[in-house]
Amino acid sequence: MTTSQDPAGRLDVPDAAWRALTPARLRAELSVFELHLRFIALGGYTTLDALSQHCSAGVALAGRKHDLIVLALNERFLELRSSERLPYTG
Amino acid sequence: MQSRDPHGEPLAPLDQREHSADTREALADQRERTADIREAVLDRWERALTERALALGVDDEQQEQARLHTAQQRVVARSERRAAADERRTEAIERAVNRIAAAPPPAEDDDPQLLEAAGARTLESLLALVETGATLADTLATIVEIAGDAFVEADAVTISLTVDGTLTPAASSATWASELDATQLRRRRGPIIDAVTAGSVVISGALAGDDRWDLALGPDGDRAVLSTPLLVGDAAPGVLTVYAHPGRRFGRHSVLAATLLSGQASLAVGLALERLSHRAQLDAWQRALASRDLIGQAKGILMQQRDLDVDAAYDLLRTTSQRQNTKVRDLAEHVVTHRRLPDHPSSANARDSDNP
Repeated sequence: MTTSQDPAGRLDVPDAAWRALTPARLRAELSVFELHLRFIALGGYTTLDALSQHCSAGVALAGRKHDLIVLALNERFLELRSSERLPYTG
Repeated sequence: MQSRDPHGEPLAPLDQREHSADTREALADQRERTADIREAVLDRWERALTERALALGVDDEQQEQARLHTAQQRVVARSERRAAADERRTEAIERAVNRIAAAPPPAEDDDPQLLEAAGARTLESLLALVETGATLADTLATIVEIAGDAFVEADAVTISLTVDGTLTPAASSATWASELDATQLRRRRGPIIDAVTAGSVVISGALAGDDRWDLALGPDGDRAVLSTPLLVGDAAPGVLTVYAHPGRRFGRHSVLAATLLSGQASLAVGLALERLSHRAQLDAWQRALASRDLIGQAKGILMQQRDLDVDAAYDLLRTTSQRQNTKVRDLAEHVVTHRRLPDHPSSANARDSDNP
């Protein structure tokens, strides 16, 4: 899948990018609820269900929300003193 | 596990059956009452969380529908529980009629009516705890106090709760009782452990000399003890333990009284734990909202200072956070406080080396 934007402003991300989210979330020891809360704290704006669907099935999110999820995970890795970081798409 | 009489001897088969029936009935009633109250509290909390999520705009109709469906399922489950309870009560009335016809007059301090009155007072006290939103520590302290009053034989009362998968002393009315608890928990044997394993009341006429556990205890251990499990929803349980005065034995209705008390105490402890968890969730939301505000303010400052659009301002925060290995929220706080991004530590070091 290539990066593209549909008329509703939803932004597709490469398959490898969304597929990396759930394993990373598990390594980061976060529940979906906790990840959503961190995403909201960083200024993100989507439902828990939409975030979950993106992480588990690659359902597109509007705007640049994928990178905000990545940021939430990377900040968690920072807390855990892990050197792991996920790449941003933008 | 086989029930024992107050001296630790196995009960006669008929008494055993009656005790078991009473215990099962009391437990079922308590579970029903617990489920009703928990559901009412959960409904209230769910509404509060939904309102919060809607206010923030992070909830949608699909999730609302899912919640309504769950609430409807709870109503159906409640009706089924009520029907089962009616059947149990009919059976209980028949048993009680047969028993009254056959039973000898009770001893004064062992009167079922007195027990019933004490049970009602206990429930009233525990419901007051639930309604006033007492903390977990206050809830445990009150249960210890109530149990001390409920058993005329009680010298001390303790509560152990499962914390991170391990039974841990949580409340006690006497230091020596805490030590007796700690010995059992450390050696993984004794009435506390058996009460959890069996999920029912365990009584010993003399803890130190009871060959079921072979516990080497000091003189404080030479007393009767009763342990009853606290069943907190699906979570790992706790145990309420009553240590008798030296030389006293637990009365005939101790198992029933302990079962009633443990059901009511389980309700109060379960709700206190859920309240703790709910409060933690609300606190987490408050922190998330505060962080959002801070990041929003920082973006506004950077947009104004550097003539950036909102996405560019956020990108600047994010790339700076990556470069400095700092959280975006901490950067935002710095921007809001100092009206600028922090210097990179390496540039600060460079300046330090320039100025010996």
